[in-house]
Amino acid sequence: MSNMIYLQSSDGDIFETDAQIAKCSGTIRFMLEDCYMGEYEGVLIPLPNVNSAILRKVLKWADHHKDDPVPIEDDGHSVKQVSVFSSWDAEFLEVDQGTLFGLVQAANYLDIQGLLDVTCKTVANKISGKTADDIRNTLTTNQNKFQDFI
Amino acid sequence: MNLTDLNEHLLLIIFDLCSVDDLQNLHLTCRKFHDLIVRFDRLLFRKHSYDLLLTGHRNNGKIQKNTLHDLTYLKRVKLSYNWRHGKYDEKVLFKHRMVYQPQLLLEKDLLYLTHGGELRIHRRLKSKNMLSERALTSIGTTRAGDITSFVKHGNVIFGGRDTGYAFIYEDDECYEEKISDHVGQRRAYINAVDFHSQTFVTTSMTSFKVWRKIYELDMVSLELMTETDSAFKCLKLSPSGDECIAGIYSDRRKEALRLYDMETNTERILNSQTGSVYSVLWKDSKTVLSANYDSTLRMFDIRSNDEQIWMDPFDSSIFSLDYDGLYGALCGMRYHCRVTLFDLRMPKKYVQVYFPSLHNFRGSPAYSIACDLSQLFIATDHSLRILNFNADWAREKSYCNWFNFGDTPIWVSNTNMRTLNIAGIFLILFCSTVWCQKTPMFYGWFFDEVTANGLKEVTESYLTSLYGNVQEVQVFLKNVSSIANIEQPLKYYTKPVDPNTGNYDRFFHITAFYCGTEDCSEYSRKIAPYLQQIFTSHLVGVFFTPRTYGIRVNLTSLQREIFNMNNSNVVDSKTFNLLDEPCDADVINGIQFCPQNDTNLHPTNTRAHITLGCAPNVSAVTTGLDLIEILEMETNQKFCARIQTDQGNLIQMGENCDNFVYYLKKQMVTNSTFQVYYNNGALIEVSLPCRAQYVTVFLLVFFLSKVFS
Repeated sequence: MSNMIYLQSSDGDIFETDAQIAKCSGTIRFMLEDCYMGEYEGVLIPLPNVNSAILRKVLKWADHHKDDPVPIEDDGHSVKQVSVFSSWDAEFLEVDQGTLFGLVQAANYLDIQGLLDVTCKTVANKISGKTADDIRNTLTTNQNKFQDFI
Repeated sequence: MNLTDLNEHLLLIIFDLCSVDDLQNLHLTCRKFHDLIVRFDRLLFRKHSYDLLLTGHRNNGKIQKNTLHDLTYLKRVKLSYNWRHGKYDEKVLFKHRMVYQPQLLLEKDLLYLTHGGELRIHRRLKSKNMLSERALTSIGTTRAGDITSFVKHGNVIFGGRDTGYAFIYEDDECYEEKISDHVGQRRAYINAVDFHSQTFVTTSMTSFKVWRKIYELDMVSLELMTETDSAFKCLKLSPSGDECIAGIYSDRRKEALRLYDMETNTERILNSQTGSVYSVLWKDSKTVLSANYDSTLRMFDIRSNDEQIWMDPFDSSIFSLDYDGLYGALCGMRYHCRVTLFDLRMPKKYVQVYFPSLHNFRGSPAYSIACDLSQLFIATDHSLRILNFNADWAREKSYCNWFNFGDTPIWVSNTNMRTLNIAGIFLILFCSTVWCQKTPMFYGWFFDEVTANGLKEVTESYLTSLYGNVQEVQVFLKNVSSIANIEQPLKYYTKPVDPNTGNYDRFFHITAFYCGTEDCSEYSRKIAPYLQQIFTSHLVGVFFTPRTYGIRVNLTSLQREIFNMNNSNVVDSKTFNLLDEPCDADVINGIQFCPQNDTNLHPTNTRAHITLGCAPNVSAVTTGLDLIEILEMETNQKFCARIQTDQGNLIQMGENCDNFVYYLKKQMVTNSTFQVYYNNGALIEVSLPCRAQYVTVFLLVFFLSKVFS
């Protein structure tokens, strides 16, 4: 049984995807299960906070990780699963900074814990070992914002 | 989109994954991050500061309760760094001339410090003064016996004096009582006191006593419960009060650490191999820290009866102890007001030593120390020192790594090391000079002084007799000397000049290989076994040309082998091997005159020679070149004339008939040593790499002299 659903990005592009894959996103799963009461074949979900390029990357990641075990929730405290940083992930995240931060935001908005973990870890790795100046120069491109730098 | 565009929630997730160092860098990146990190100090730094040395907050140890300032977790991280690296600001208070042993106790708001017989209580301040110099209250008077030990639990202060009196201070009332007497020669001196609820313990030079506090007519007094004749130097009741750890001042059997059971009144010897304990402390209910005379800090586990030992890096005794409640142990040392910091997690090693500045060069034992998270109080015999580690601006005074001492290398500050350095420079200079000298200039067979003089004499006589007897020689010599403006034809040839010194060569030699400034290391390697060996040289004839004057040499087979290693020396493939036959002629001036087999014509097939003299402005090297020409003429038999004399056979040859070879009837056989002749220090002759080295060495000397000044 194919449960295809449609996701609409902020720039209007529509992506067709398997509901199982889309369900790795907590936001989408909640919508499908609560709003559509499980009968969601062919529904169109607008995602106004995610643009096409990022959504394409997210779906690619979700497709690759569709068989991952679901993190167990324990008394509301999500057990900090040490997300395995596979070589595929590392390669997948070799993107420019704009895309990387876009992915962080998208992972947060779509509530994809696994993606959030690996992207944040990647950002932290980029920060690691850099001096304050290095961080300012490499991770923040917009210099105007730092005129209030102490 | 960049990092600052992310919302706080996401930034915190990312920051949470960063290390402390990265967080400190982020904290400096921009105001947004700075504010965020300061606001979420607890979330971000708490987990990093759990187990820090001295500032860690796991278990909320004793040191936390002493701390006056409220510190952020980031501040704790920084403070721990400062403790470990000796970054502190120092303050000296209460300087006094009278020397006594002060005791101190630290609380969150108050500092208790003894001044002789007086216990003064000072208020601690959050300002940079740190301590109010005016005492809030004081107990007792300075003139009473010195307070040797005091403890405070709750509102009660219990202390002992060196006169044998003890006092209990309770609800602003001080009750004093004599509890110890002079016994024979031993003074009444109370070494240590402690109490737990109603049980009080004291130890003097003669006995250990357990007391109970009683109230009599609204007066507090002590009732003696037990007395044993153990004399302890220090003691401490366990947190529960049912055991007392005590140390003996001197025990020859190395059983100085004792545990006294308060219920059964029995004493147990703890298996700590120490002869003298100066201070003890309960680390927790079952572990004890002891400061020992033998420069060790020991952590003794009462359950398992075993101990861990840390040694002072300077091997001096430990006088006082403080413990932060977690991993840090501070030891006040016997000399220089020094305090050593140990990390109980680090086996055998110390973390840092603190040397408070010595005023008037007066060192003192650190009699009593106390610390909170940011301050270390050291009571010395003439002042109170406060080291404030909340001083990020202070210079690092780190002594844990000798090679990283502040910002100036230690060897510059040390006079001895400076001398050593200068010596080292001279050594470098010397070595480089030697190295420069060791570029060989040429190899050859050298004659000793006697032989050289003999040769000179003999050859001069040959030339003189030829000049007198042979007309061709006379004509030739007169001719060349008139061209060169030399009056005496016999003085036409002068001795060759030593290229190094500019002086006349003292010794004659047969050059085997001329290196000059070129690299002849390969040749050097090949002839190495022959160096300094003595060879017999056969000098068979004399030759003279308008340019040079020399002796022709017939080489033995071994000599020829060495000679021909230099390819340019090989003149002909026809080799003439001379048999080194012994000759029994007398040795005159190192020379034997042995008969020659062939006096007619004696081509030696080699250009080996001894240069005897050169015409003006002609270098000695020319001799070899002249000989090559002669050899060629000899092979082609281009002779002008052959003249027989008494002593030999003179052949005149050459286009202008101006080359003469005089074969001797009696060859001269002499000993010669195969040696190497080095270029010595004359700069002009020094090879290019050597000059470069000189320049480098001089630059180095210049640079170092700059550093010294």
